[in-house]
Amino acid sequence: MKFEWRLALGTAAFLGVAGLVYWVWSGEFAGTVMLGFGGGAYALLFGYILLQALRRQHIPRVEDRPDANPEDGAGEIHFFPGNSIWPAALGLGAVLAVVGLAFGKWFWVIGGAILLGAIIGFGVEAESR
Amino acid sequence: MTVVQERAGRYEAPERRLVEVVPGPRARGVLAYVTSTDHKQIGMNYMVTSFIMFLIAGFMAVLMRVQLSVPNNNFVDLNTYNQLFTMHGSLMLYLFLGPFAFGMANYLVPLQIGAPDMAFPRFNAFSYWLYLGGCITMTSGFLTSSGAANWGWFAYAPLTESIYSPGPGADLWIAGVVLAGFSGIFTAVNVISTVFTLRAPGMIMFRMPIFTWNQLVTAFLVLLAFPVLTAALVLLWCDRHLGTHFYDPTHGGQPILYQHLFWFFGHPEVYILALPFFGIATEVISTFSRKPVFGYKGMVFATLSIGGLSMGVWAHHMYTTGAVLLPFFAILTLLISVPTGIKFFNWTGTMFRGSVRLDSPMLFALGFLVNFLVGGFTGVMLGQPPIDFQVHDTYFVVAHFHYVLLGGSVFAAFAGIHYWFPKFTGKKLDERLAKLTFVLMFIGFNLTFFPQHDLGLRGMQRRIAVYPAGQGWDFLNMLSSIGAFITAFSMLPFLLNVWVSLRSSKKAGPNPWDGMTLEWAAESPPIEHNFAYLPPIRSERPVWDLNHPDHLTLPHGRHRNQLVTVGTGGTAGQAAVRAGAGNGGGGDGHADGGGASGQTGGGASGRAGGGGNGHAAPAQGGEGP
Ligand code: HEM
Ligand SMILES: [Cu+2]
Repeated sequence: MKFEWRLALGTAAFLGVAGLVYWVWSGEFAGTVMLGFGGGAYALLFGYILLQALRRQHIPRVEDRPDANPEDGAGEIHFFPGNSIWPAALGLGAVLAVVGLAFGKWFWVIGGAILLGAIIGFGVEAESR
Repeated sequence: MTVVQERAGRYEAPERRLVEVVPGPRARGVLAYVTSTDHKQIGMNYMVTSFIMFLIAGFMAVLMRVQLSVPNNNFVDLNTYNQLFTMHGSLMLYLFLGPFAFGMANYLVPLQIGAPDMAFPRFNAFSYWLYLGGCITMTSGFLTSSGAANWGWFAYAPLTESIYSPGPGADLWIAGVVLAGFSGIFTAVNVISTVFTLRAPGMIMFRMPIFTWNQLVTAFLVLLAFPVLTAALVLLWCDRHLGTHFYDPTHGGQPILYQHLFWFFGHPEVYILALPFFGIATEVISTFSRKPVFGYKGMVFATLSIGGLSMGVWAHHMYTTGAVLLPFFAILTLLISVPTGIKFFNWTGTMFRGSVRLDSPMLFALGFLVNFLVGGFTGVMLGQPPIDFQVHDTYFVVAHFHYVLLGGSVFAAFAGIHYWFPKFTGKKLDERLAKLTFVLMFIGFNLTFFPQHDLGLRGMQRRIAVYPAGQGWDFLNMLSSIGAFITAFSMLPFLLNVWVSLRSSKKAGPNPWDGMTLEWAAESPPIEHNFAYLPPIRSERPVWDLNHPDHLTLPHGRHRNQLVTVGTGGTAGQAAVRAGAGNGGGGDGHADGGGASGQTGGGASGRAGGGGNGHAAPAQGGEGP
């Protein structure tokens, strides 16, 4: 995981430094805030990956071992769901709700209802996996 | 090429179990399509939908070029022209080029790193539906009585305030961009999670194909950029409907704030629209030069620094506002040309002394190199405030960004389509039609946009529908319009090619181009969850290593020795380099001949045999004991 957290750390550090230089040099608010928040967001990602990496420091993952063979990855990989109608239903609800930005409340009501139903359906499906 | 299949048995790893739960019976037909969570299906959906957007937006471009072909024309009226350039630009950027890259990422990233699917398949499907909704929403603006949005693809305030731009077409544009933006964010989350957690055993980060690397950096940019755009548009919507005045100067709002927010998204966006396509070009150039990517690590770090720098240059689009810190943005903008130059150097280095084959994907990649060089050059010019002050908002800028986006990214996209079409469909595209497509596109494109540099220098502004005669613009405009027709026409052989090839019964096989990266070890098209077996991964070219055991990829940093072959001694030679790759000492050994061969017993005979192989470097091969 070494490179993963370095990537996030590097991004956060670059944005932080750029934000600082920009603030001192220009004194302009919008750019400083955006750079600063961007840096903060990537710092969070960095922290999360670092924690994960520290937790399993003693067992290097097969994908981080240059000499690992396909057999070494035997066992469970990850949960991969089969077909599901809920992503499309969620999408329909969300799109209708966003179209409400143009056409107002009826779209919010209908879109919101579909969205709610889809969230419940999705949740039930995820539970029963 | 079939070698891959013959060896399939050896690497079968049936113990590698996927946990899959299929709720209810398997869906069929339309339902299968709607409910699919397979990254390949979703990637295909993205690519096909976005290609349709490309054709629609291209049609609008042709309409505009008809209008501009002669002075004082009134083929379309002024307001229609405004809608056309707005929707052309918006469709091309928000709904075609970005989503097309996301489609490629969806399809190829899991294959290239040996993953069975994306990390969050249902989330992935959801993001496609958001994108499709965005396409329908934005284009349906044309169906409203007041027409589609007409404020340009970057929607500057205060033109966007509701008194200047009333009507639902404008709001539909906002909704469409927000939807496409969320789909991009979700895809980025998926790409990052997949790359970080689902790589195959042995696929360390520095063995990932450059395409995957570029998609990863792109995803980092998306996560930074799109939320800012969404925020900017939500504020805009509040201004339009809730009576706030964020961008309204008559009530103390700041239009400049909008420009900052927009371009903080907008500049990373142009790299979101470029980096994936750099990745495609890299893969294609490497495969068709039959060499590993020259300077692999340099390439990765160039991508990383382009990504980083592109987060700090947004206001070079705002030089002429007089309200930004010119030196800060000019310096960072100039710095970007350094890693970009490194990329060019490495692309040429990859081709140098390779055995280059000019198949259609390679032609498109070479077209990309030439066009992008021109666009990059004018980009460096525009990065200089003194030049930008002269040509801002003229056709010089229009020529510049079409060279980058169409000449660069779209040519690379076509390289990718022709390269991976066999992987996606199991059928190869016809080479003659493909070459015809390339020639027409290349000539048409350059004829359309090269004259526009001159038009810009002669003072023709962008976004004008009508221009008077006698300014020295007439001939160049006519030329440009003719070019646009040729470019549009080049889509016919392409579409015909797709149709004909899909119907043909010739099978392409898993690896028609002698590709090097992991996706070529899968079936064409890949089976559900992608791999029945995986080759061992010992370099950034696992499939090449499997198919060419006598010419294995050496570890990074040993390019000095690249041309040393280890002979055709079969497994003995293979063992030698395997050992070399493992302890890092073998690579050096090749250079000083005798020294290393002692380390790896079998290797000695292998290396002696290497002399007969055309690639062997003269000195070292002969010096063996
Ligand atoms: C045959 C191919 C194409 C032709 C003939 C073409 C032509 C045009 C024309 C005539 C304009 C309007 C210029 C103006 O009035 O200011 C324009 C604008 C634009 N085009 Fe293209 N174009 C093509 C392909 C593309 C592609 C592939 C992309 C991006 C992927 C693209 C992105 C844009 C953008 C962003 C604008 C600016 C829109 C605005 O001013 O808001 N174009 N193009
Ligand atoms: Cu820019």
